[in-house]
Amino acid sequence: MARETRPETSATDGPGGGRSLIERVETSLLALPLDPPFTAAIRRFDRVYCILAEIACGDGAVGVGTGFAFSSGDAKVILSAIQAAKPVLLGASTSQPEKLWRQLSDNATFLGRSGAASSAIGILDTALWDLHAKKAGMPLWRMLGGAQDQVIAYASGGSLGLSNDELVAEMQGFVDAGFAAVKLKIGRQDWHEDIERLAECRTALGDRVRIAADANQSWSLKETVQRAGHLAQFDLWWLEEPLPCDAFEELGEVRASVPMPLASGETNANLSDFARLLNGRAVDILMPNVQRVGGITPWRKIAAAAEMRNVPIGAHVQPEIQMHLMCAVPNGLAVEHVAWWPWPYEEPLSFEGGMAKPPEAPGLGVTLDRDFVNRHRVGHPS
Amino acid sequence: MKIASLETTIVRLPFDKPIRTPVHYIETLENVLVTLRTDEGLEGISYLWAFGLSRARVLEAMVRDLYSVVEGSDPRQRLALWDAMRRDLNFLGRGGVGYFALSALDTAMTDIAARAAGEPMWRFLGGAERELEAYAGGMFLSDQIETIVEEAQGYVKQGYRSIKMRVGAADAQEDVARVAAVREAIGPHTRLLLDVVQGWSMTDAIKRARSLEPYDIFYIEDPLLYDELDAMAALASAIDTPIAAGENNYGKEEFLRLIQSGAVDIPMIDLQRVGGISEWLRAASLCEAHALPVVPHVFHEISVHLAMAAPNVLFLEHVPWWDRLFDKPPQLQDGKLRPGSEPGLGLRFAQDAIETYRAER
Repeated sequence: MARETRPETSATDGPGGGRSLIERVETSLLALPLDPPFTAAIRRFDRVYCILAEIACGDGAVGVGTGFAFSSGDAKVILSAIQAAKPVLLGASTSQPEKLWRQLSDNATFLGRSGAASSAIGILDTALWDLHAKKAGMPLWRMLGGAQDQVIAYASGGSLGLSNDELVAEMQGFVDAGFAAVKLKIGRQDWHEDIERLAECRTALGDRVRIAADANQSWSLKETVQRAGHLAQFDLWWLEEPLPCDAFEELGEVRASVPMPLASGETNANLSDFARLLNGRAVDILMPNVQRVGGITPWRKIAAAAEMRNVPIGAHVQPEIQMHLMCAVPNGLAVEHVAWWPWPYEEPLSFEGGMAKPPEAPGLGVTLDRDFVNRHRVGHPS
Repeated sequence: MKIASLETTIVRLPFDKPIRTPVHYIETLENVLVTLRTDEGLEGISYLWAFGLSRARVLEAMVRDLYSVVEGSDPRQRLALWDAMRRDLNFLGRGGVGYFALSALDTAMTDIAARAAGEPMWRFLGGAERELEAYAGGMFLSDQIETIVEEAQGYVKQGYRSIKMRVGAADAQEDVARVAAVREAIGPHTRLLLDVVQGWSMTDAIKRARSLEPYDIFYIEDPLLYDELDAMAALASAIDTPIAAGENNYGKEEFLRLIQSGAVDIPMIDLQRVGGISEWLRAASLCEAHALPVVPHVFHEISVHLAMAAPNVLFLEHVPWWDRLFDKPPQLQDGKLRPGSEPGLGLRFAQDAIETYRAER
């Protein structure tokens, strides 16, 4: 039989006594249409779903965690995994996020430590850290160590569905808006078109703008090595996810033989996967997705393991959360500003001179835009 | 032929006696019953199980989500559809909940394909009919020595030639005493398997395993956390008793890694985690190519078919918890199981049990 641990609700009060214990965990699902749709090598996105978790304590403090999915079915699976996690949280103290993470993880062991259960824990863990930092009266990035005051912000776009002219116009628009670094999708059916598109972008943007290219797991080992030879002329900031996320050994071989830095990690979930990426010297830049890995608690461990090997850690989407994580650690590289991707926050991140600065308000420092939430909510709140 | 509909039902089966272990207190067994129907009226079934209603609901939501990938397709193209489902799981992550759903849909599609061919599953898969030995499992840590000794003797009387007991008590000497008592009670000719349920750590696993070796242990199952492969490989090379593991692994890729790590002598493949009948057979073939036997993890009413088609199946695990779900579950005879001759899996959900134990929405 599978190993199993019964949820154990902590009776240990944190600072503030019994009133600071968790009383409610509420979730909402928002459907956000994309116009126009966004196309990456892996699929076309017509809308994004935002999964919202609010954890409320008896003393009125509320922590907010947000996550995402690209289909309502996937979002519902994550929401049901959040329901399965609730008994662990209700009545627990928020002053020990590591302990709660272990209990959430043990509670999900039967369902597997990766996959939807991990995403659910990721969203809840983020809300718990928001609460923890709010109660301490500190912005999360300072609470977690505050290694940097600002990091590079790059603008991410370059849908495969854009024409070459539209692509160049979008990239030029990012630079005109102040960004000095951009990312675009590659992985067209005919790879020669990837080369043409990059050539046009490089010509239009000049030599000084950083350009990263994301293949979303669409190439094989040999395709990557051959195409990387052609991509070398464009001085890429990095080449992202050329191979399937779990092709650990192949990634290591690619990294050893291509000239540009290699980034991967956003689709991996288990801590042991990140150990394999690092131990196998498979990446130059590690890019864990905070939701998929199970939240900020395991993200910090991945970041520390990368730091020990002098590997920078990159952000993957969710800039309002990533902003804090990037500034918390010394090897945080850059925040990804995804122009086409809306989030339900009142305060947009500010980018000045191509840099992003974290907020000083306690916790994540975000306020939910209630009108936005109500307008896009699907189904009933729970 | 097209897949036209999906029906899912959650059924909570109460245990006659709750299961208590240091990490378990379980009163009910939750199951997601899955039925696929085609436009021609053919049905295929499968089920998933979990401890806890909220977990069963997660699995049910995932099955309903992943169903959109196969709806409208010909279930006989099950291998191509398997691949399509796997690709669709990129977002939620391979393994975990996604693979449970992939398993349920693959098994139900394979059931339809075999029924469409008019063949029992074992013949549809190319197997030869044979009787297969089954082992009994139980003897939980929560029970006193006298109780588990009586339980062990009961299994031997029923005809089982292999029995499995739990070990991993806080006090290592207690494990030795329990294993010694059971071995003495069953005599030298019954195989004794030990299941640690991932409960040991490397600080004393080698010492504990060696202290149990005098009692002729056939294998030790899940001695360490399932993903501590380096540690498990070190344990495997330090002791003489074979190690069985794998019931927590997803997909053939994890089995390849398990085999290559040298951590396991007897891979155990779980139908609802590996990826259904199609992936179960691929994982078993992978083990065969490395000259390793395999043991199916529970699901004996389905595994009995798979064992006819996979020559390296050692024996079957027989846990009768799920018998109540079916009209005519395969019956044990003289410690052995044999598959039926009805088309497909030859299984029908017992409507009276569903009505009695159906969980409310």
